Amino acid sequence: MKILLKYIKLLSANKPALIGAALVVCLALIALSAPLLTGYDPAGQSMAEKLLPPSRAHLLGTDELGRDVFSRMIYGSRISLSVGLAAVAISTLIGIFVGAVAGYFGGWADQFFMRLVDIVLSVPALFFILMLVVFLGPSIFNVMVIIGLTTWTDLARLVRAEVLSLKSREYVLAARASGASHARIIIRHILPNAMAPVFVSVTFGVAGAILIESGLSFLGLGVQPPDPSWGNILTSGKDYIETAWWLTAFPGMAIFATIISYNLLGEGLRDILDPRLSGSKERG
Amino acid sequence: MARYILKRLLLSIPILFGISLITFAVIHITPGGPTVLQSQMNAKMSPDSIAKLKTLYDLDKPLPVQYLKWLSRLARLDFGDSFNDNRPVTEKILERLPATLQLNLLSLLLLFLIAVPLGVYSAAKQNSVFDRLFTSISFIGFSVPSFWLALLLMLFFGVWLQWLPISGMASVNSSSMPPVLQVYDRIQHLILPLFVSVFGSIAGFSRYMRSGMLEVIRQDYIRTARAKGLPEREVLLNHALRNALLPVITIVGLSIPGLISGGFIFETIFAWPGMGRLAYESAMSFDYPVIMGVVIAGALLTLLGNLLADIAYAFADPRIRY
Amino acid sequence: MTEDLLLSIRDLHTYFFRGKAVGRAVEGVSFDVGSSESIGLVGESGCGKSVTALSILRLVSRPGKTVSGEIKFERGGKMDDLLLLPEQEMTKVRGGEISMIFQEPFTALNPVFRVETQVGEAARVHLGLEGKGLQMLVMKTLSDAGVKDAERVADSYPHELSGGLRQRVMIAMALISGPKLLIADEPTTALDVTVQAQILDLLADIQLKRKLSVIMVSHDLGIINRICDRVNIMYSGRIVESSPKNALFSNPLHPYTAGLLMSIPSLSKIERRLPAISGNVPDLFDPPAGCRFHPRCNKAMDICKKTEPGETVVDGRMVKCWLYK
Repeated sequence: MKILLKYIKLLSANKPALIGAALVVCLALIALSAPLLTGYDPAGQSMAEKLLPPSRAHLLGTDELGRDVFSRMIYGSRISLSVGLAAVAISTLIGIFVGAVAGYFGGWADQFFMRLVDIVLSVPALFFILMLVVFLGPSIFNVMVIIGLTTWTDLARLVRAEVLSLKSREYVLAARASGASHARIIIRHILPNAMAPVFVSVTFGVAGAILIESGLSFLGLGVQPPDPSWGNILTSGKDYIETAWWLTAFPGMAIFATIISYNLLGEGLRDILDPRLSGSKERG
Repeated sequence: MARYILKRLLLSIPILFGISLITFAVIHITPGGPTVLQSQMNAKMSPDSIAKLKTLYDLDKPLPVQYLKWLSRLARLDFGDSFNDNRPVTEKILERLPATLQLNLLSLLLLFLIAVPLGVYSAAKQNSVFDRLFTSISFIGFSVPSFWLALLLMLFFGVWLQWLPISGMASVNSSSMPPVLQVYDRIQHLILPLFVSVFGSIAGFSRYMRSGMLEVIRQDYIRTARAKGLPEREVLLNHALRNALLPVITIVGLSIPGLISGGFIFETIFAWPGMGRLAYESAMSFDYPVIMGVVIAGALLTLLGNLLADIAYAFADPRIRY
Repeated sequence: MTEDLLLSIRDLHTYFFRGKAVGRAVEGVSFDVGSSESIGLVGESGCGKSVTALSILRLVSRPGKTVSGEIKFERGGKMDDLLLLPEQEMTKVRGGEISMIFQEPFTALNPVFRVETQVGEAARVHLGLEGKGLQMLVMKTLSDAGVKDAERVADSYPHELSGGLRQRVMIAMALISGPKLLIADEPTTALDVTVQAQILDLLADIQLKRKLSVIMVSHDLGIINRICDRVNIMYSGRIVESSPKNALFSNPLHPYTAGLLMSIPSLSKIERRLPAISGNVPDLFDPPAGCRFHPRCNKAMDICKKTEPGETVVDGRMVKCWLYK
């Protein structure tokens, strides 16, 4: 708890991180309070009102089926954010597990998992995702799982390196000497001290996952209509690029804003949490 | 050197093996196997195609036999025939490869020419106005989704200003143009895809270059070079840059899969007839053999790229002896 | 002082800036170097001796900065203040007129260039040599630096050489364009004891043959003993004693000098004496009041805690200590 307070204090001294954190919270609030922010049904079609430019009635215009873009974007943020967070949760769990096991046990476990990382890395990620989407079929759930299953490699390497450097520390040796089980040593003694780079990586990971989700949805391989997602609103943007610029401009801006908020927060966290980087600045 | 390359080649064998296992697993990952999926999801699938799929992946045989057959096909780079037009997958990929390579090699070249000087200059003038501006802009740069950037550029240059074509590699009537105009036409078609492709990587790449230079500048041998009385330009561009470029070789190698597969989004947007676009087309029509082929071809290109990067590294860094 | 003065440093201040805090690494250092004279600059690590050496060539890097003082150096018959020279002129001094040898031969050579390139560079820049002429000079200088198979070494990369050879390469690099002054910053610290002796002999030999002036920076009075005519003892950013070598060794004035002498590991006796000075080097960002050495001094008096001692001249030797007021 004390450590948490210390981080919050440090965080508030880091301007980009503070802005990032504020934006991240704002986006989450918008997603949570979607019904309060808009009177339109995100799926409500009205052919009489199709492809209207932004106006007082429709703040960000309407799409080709006459649906209110603002309301689709607000509801879309729920889907984009939850896909991003869920995907990162999956990849984080896999990454921590693989990294911890490989780093802690070494030997063939290490060999096995690190070769696995090499293999996953050698398949171009988006092709891999595309293949899985085609075989499993596109749905919100599948997209979450697939992104999670393909983006854990960097984190696994990071955690492995941390665990390797921590496992010969005295307090770990002491715990082992006192007869603690491997699982207990890893979970209680090693991982809590390896968390700093994980937080940083997770924050950047959310940005990355949202980027992939919106890219897939944009190509029609992610979140399927009529469910709204920033990516699939952009699909209409491309189809009607000659007539309806607002279908391109606004959802893209939403994706951009989300990604930059998480990246800002991630950069700030890295400055604060990664002693190697901030330490090297001090030297000399 | 030959021994080093051989060793490096041997090391990629287990990875190739792993790729074959993963792709084989993917075929069977769908509940009930691929044939069930086929008939459920794609109404266009004829019973004839289902039969084809069955024979293609030997789905009526026991699993080990299926895998061995799959492995032997991969070894021969035989991915079967496309479900859409019955042409061999390998042929379809080879026909799309040049467009992808053209775009990627050009963008790597541009990336280098722009990102290296940017990073070096920014590091040399650390904390200057330029450096701060560069750091902020590159930060925004790598947060812009490339497909959105592509759409914005199409909107701006293609639709509003009407300066540039927004899709394809050449105009429909280009073959009837005089050669000079044909080249001009090709270049016009290249500009937007190339810009988007380079823009996406330039921010990260030049930031990497900047931090690499900052790291190298702190080294003792840079102080030695200064103590010799070398002009600062020479210290930075010769002594520092040579060392800072070494890790860049590795980064270029590592960025190959991203470049290849990232292309699948904007190749699709700009209707650029490369491998990425092929992957997209086959995904939309559930053309399994083609998707598999593209994935494996992408993996092979990646391995090849990493191999070349490692060899280049061994040439560039005298400390590596094989 | 010496009749032909080569270098004259007056009241040099080099500070390090960390946020609002200021670390006074060099504070009011003054000393002279005559031509062909060899001067020792001695103290524990963190006393500012290396920073003083780097300040002469204006190589102190951020966040350090030389804030005031004067470094007069004899160039073409007149004394130029190096601190006022334009950068372009300063590059002629570096490596051309004043050369420097660094402590770590393992990191001070660029890993991606061959020895020949690195040694030749200074001659290319300062003497305008190229091609065959440059190559011959490189080989000759390498042999002068005691490299036996100069051809092979010239063709090697630094990582292929032993520590001693690398340091010889560093020396050749420093000598090649015929400087008047050589600054050696702990040139033997990173080497094995036997190699240390060889390198010291080489430096002494070169100094004699080339009539070089030398500033030897070291924490080890034993090394200084073999090379230097005159010794400056530094403590916490200032020179606390300056004496001819023999006088200093036979009769140290400052208690700190006495302590340093006590802690020389003598080669004749196997056992190593315990360090005679207890305590730690003061923090440059927060030095003690009064004489900076008083917390560690066994002769400290009341006045030492309050007021800093000024210079006192005893038998032509300079010392800053209340014992001699």
